[in-house]
Amino acid sequence: MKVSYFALLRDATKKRSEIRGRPASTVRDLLRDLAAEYGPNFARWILKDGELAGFAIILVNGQDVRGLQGLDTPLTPESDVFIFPPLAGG
Amino acid sequence: MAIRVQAGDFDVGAEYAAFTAGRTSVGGVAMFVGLVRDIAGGASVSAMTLEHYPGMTEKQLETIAEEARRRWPLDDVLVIHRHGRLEPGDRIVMVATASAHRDAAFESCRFLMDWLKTKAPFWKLEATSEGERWVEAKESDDAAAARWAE
Repeated sequence: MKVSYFALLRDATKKRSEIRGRPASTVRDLLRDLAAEYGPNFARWILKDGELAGFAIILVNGQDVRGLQGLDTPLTPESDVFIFPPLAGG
Repeated sequence: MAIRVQAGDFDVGAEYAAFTAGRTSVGGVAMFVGLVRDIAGGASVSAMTLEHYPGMTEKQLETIAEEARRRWPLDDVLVIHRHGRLEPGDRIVMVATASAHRDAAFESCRFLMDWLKTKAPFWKLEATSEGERWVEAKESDDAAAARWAE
């Protein structure tokens, strides 16, 4: 599974993208793994009360998870995931 | 309707001329031009770098502009948004709305900017006197966007 990070998430992870050898089964599982690995700030930027923060965006294979099954969107070892922190706006 | 996301600057006068050319049914055009400020959060800003995600950003700007057209009787909408490294005084964004009546032009222009500030997929890295920092969403921007809730 490939996971790419945007903006301040790159500062937290120190990388633009990575291939994760231990695939998570859902987006929620992936975020839990990433928060454990990269620190609580990672989750704080992305999650609010356990759900996707208002203007954070997660794409799975190019599709916004809000149009799929949200944080319960299933992932496979072939999934291509983009994680964007909340927008700063135009 | 035109949506452009570009690194280069734009000429406000030329954009206005092109936007209004041949439009005899338009009674008013409202325009807003956003600039890079040299101070933010009490720190002086020497530069700001705007990141976007090509494809997704343009699509979201189109959705916002379509929403404006749904709400007001507009003849046309123009949104130009820059990305990349900008310095204080540089133009960041231009929004123009054209309508038969001024109220629709004024209100839709403000609506577009309020929604751009909260819904447009841009991320800003400020270079300040205190170091580099990512700009986080502002509650005041959220409140401005919330007033347009239907």
